[in-house]
Amino acid sequence: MSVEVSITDGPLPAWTPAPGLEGAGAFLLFEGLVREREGDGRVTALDYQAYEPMAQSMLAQIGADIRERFGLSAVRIEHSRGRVPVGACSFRLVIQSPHRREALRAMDEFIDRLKQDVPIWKRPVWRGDAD
Amino acid sequence: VGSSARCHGRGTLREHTPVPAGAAPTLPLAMTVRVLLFGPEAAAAGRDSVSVEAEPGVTCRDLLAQLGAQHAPLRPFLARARLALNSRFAAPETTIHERDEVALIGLVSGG
Repeated sequence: MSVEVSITDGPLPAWTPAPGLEGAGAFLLFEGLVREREGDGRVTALDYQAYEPMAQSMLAQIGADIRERFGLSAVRIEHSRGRVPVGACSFRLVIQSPHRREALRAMDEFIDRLKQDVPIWKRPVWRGDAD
Repeated sequence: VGSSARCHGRGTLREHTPVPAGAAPTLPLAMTVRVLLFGPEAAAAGRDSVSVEAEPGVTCRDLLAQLGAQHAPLRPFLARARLALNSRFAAPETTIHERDEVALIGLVSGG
């Protein structure tokens, strides 16, 4: 029964499965990638800024909330700070749960709350910008 | 893996200019509250914090009003912004104390 949070510089490294899935009936992995299209423009990257440690504590709090509400086995949250190029991963949510339905609902709720309450911002780096 | 606070917003108490003898009394202290800014609000203000003059005992609701009165570039953001005290969202009626870390949290865009 754990919630782990990390905020790290740049793109998130590729996911490597951790041991300990024996009790899980469902394993969900969500990755948010930087897309090239942003509105009518094209970006080469996004610059992420986080208000730390508030972002860290909010991610942990929301993770603990969904773990409790949906009876999850484990929650792992990873988010980038700084520059993340198009196509790279900037957010990862991993959920282990005894059952599939609760895991899917928990994932949806977590992402909704992330986008409402966690003090992290992104700034587009437009294609053609010097910086 | 890890994180750390990179800056701090603190309120400090200072004395008003002394009142001449016989003049109407004023509150003995005013408070300067440093408010941390991020994302679009920091870009609009051109800096990552602003100072706000307020009376001791100011609430979050009143400080937001003072932010708009004293820092015009922030006005368009305030209707949808919240204050955080010491890394937690604070209710509008919460009183701000001298050592609180104060942050303006506008619309977030993580993920």
